Amino acid sequence: MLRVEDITHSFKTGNEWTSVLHKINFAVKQGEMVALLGSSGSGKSTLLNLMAGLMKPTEGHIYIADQDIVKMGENKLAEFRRKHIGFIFQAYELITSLTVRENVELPLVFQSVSPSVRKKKALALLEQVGIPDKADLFPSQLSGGQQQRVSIARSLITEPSVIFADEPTGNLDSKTEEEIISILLNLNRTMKTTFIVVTHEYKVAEQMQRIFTLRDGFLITEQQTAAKAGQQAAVETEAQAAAETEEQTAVEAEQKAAVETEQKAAVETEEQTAAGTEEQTPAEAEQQTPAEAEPAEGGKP
Amino acid sequence: MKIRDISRMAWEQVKRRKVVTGLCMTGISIGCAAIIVALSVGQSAQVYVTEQVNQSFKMDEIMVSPGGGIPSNGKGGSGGGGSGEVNENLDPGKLTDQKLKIIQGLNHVKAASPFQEAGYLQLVTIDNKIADVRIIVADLQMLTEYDHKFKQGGANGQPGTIVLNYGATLGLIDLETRQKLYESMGNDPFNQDIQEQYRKLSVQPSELYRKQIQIQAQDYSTTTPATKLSSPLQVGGILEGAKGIDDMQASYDKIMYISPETAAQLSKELVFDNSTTSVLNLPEEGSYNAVTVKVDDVANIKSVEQMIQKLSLNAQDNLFQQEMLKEQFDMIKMAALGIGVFILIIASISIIVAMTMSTHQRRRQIGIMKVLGANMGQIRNMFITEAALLGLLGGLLGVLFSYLIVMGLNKLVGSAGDGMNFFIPPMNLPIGISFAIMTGVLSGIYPAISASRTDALTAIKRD
Repeated sequence: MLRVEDITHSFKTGNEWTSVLHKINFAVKQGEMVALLGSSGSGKSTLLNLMAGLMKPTEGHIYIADQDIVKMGENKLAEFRRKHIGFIFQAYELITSLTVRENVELPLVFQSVSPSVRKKKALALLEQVGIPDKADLFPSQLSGGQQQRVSIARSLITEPSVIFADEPTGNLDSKTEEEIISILLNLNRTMKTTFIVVTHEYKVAEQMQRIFTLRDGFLITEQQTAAKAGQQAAVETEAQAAAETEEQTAVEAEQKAAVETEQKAAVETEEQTAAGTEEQTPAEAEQQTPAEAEPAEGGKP
Repeated sequence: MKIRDISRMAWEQVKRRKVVTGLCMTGISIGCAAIIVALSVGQSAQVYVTEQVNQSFKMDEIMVSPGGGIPSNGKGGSGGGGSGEVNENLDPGKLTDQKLKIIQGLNHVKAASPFQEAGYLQLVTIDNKIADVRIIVADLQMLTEYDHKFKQGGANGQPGTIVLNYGATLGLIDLETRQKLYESMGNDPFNQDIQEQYRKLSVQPSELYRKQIQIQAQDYSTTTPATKLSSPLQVGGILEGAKGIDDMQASYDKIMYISPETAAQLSKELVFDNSTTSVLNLPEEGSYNAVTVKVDDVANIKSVEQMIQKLSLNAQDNLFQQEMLKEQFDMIKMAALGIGVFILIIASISIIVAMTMSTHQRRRQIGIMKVLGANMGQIRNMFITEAALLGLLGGLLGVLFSYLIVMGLNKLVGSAGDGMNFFIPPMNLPIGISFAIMTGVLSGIYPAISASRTDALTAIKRD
């Protein structure tokens, strides 16, 4: 669905070139929800802007729906964004002179979709994000969370291939943050829309299926989260539990056997002592037993 | 992006950005009003002057005279002179009764009738007031066909009745007073009181309708001037004065219309003993020295004129007056238009500044739209539509302004006592509004291009 190949990006300040991204490579599958995690200045927003076609990389290729957006001109990119890309901003970026419904409809206006179709779609999406009664209000009449819901509805109206969310909860309190993330997760699950969420908060990122961690322009880790592991982790845990039980049984059996052996040996020792013969100590015998179990795979890092 | 959506968004912005809208509308409306008023003043002046000229030179009339020129009382050439030796075969330029009938039958000819200048004589009233009048011999019943209207009475066609124009009823002074006045003016030409008295007497009206008058002829050929009075004539009708001409101007042109029968009678009566010719300048019977042809439309003047010329007659129209006026007023209109366009150009600078300011303020919005998929053309069209809308609104306001200005001008001119009336021809309104929209669009191009080139990322970046 989305493929980032050898993306390098630098910019010039004065006579010096500053490198922001170094040979970034990764791919995101259709319907996946991934996080770009990194601290301020790590290059995550630059990467997002490159993927959204708002900037051109110094080197490399970005493929969305099998099209290299790096090679596209401005108007072609605008058309591509109109059809394939949705955008959720940290500060919502709604147009204050338009009503909530008109804001949601806006991307379709640029596609020359008829007003009746636009209205129907916008109202359905507002229902989906939980604010059907706010359609005729203006953004200034809404709370931050509600405005972000409008922004989400707007990003979905063109049924894009991928939605880029730049710190979507950055301006929200923790309760609203949870609600918004919950809406995004739900939309990803029900609509199978690909989401790429830029965040600097691990607790937001860990709710996505995969996390790409950036540091100083390098993609340092790519890890699956508990969310992605999901069922796989549960299956593995069950299997491990079963193995542990078996091992425990074996250990217990061995321990029992060892005790019996010990007792028998003690008897024998006593007999040998009596007979003047020296044998192996029980501690040494214990060290040779397979008592150490390997740690379980998966789970949280 | 649909036109409806672009227009609606532009309208929303126009409504929302009241200061920018106000600034732009003011600028454009002034320019638009300047164009409308300038054109209208030019056209009003043209209509006014044309009306004035039409009083003397009717554009839909052709003056026909004999082919060899106007004859001198029947002597020689093509005139309707009295020499019996000259007939039409020998003088093809003669304006005969037969030719008059042909002219009357031509296409587009509404009327063709002789209006023969018979010279200047003195009109004498019963109370001995006199005035110099121009005698025109014509079919009195045809006067109304040539746009003359009767103020009093009419043309009854009876011999011995005459028709006077309005000017002929003004400034009739008795001989003694007139002589005294002339003497006083001669002795003291710069005396304002005498001048004022003369002006008052010149426009003093006399009630002449149904009154009896006489014509007086003077013979200057003898050492002691001899005079002869005609038999009494009755004033059967008085024509209305020409529109837009004041009494003083009217008093300069005193005309007495007499029928051919009355002319023949006067011609016999006013012959001096020592002369063989009449004091009235008349052609021989059955021929004319001047015929006036009225054509149904000015556009047909030239074609009728050409046909008349084929009859070996002279034909002269007054279109050259119109053409001369047209040339002058075209120049005035062009100058007025130039002034209006200049004001619009100045106004457009304010629009460019206001729109550029507006573009800068809306950079973030433009950035959002671009991120959401708006291309450069769509952004550009939005701004140009907005500018056009501002132009349209400014134009409508300009129309309102122009009506107020014209009303003011009319009050000003009205209070000055001039008969000129300023008006706005309906055609000037779309011209003014078109200029206003064009100014809006042209002024909006630079800000629109600038807006469309806004970098989306830079625009949405928050500090």
